[in-house]
Amino acid sequence: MEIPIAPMPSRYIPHSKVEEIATACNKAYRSKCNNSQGYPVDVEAFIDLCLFKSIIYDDIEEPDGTIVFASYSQENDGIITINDRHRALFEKRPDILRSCIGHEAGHCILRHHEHDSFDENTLSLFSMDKPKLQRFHRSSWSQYGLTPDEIIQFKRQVEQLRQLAAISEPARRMLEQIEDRLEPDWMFRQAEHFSMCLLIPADQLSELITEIRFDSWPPIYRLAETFGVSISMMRVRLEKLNMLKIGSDGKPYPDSKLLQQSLF
Amino acid sequence: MSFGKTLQRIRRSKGKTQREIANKIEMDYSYFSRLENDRFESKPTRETIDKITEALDCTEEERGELLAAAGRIDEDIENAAKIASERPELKRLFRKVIELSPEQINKIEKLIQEEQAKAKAKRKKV
Repeated sequence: MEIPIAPMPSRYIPHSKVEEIATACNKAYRSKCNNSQGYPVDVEAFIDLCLFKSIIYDDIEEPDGTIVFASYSQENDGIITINDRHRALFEKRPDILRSCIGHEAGHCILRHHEHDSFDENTLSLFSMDKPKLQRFHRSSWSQYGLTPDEIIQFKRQVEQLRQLAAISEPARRMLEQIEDRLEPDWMFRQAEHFSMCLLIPADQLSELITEIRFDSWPPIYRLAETFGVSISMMRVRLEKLNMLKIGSDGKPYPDSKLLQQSLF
Repeated sequence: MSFGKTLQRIRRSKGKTQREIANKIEMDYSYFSRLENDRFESKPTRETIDKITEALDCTEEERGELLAAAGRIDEDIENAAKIASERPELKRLFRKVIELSPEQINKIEKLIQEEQAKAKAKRKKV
C-alpha cells in the first residue's frame, strides 16, 4: 500500500479524513517494515523507510520556560529533529517519543509546511515588516519570546481586531493570519490526531477489544502498553471511537449503547 | 554526494534503520544520526566505515562508494600509493598510465601478466 497524498492543508479537513490518511500510512508501514499487525509502530522506521525523511537526534534550543521535543523542517527533503536534551525521558518513556515523532510525521504528511501562512509576505504581529517565520505548537506565550508587556499589548491588539473583524474584512484576515502564525491549533490537532490513528490503527484495535470490558483502568493500561502508547492517548482514542466514557468520578465506563453502533 | 547521503541511501536500500546499525556497531544512535546528516566537520575514520559496511553487509562497490564519499581511498590503493612514493620508477609509470585509454591499459596489463609468467617460469627452472 502506498503513502497517500494529503489534500492541500486546511483547517477544514475533517478528522475522519486525517484518520483515513493515517490508516493508509499504517498499512504501508506494515508491508514495508514487516510488521504485519501494525503495532507497536516503529515510527523511526516509518519516517525513514516509508516516508524517506531524515531523522536526527540533535540539540534543539528551547526558549525559557518551554519544552521542545521534536520539530519538522523541509530542509534536505524533509528532516525530523528529535531533541537529544530529552534523551533520558525518551529512553524511559518510548511512548512519548513515539507520539512525538508520529506528530511530526503528521505535519509532514498533511503538508502543513505548504499552508498559506508560511508565505513570506504574511504580516508580522506588531509591524508591517516581513515576519520571522517560526511556528510553535503550544499556546504558551513565552515560547514566542514575548515579554509580559508585549503580551499585554498583543492581547489588546487582538481584542481590537476581534471587535473589528465582524465588520472589517482586512481585520478578519489579519486576525486569521495572526492566529495561524502564533497558535495554529488546527494544525496541532490534526497532527495529534494523525499520530494517534497511526499508532493505534482502528482495525487492529477493534480486533483486540472484543473481549475487553472497559470498566476499570487496568485493561486500558494493558491496551496502551500493547500499542506502545501513553494511557492518555489510548483513553482519547477509545473515547473518540465511542468505546469508552469517563464518569464524573474519574472511572472508566464502557459505552455499551454505542458499542453496538461502533464505527467498526 | 555527501558521505551522509551515501550512507543513508545504502542503508535504506538494505531496509535497515539507523538504530539497528548503530546498535550493531555499538555506536550511540544519536551520533549515528548526526553522521548520516553530515553534522560533523571531519569525516569518519576508515575503521568506522569498515564497521558500518560490515554491519550493512555492503558489497565491495558500496564500500568503495562510502570510502570515496568520506574522502578515503581503498586500502589496497592507499598501500600501493605508499610504495609508489618510495619507488620513483613506479611513480613515473603511474603518471604515464593514468593518461592511457582503457584498451591501452588492458594491453599493458596483459604485457605485465606475460612478464610475470616468464619470471615465474624462470624461477621454477632455477
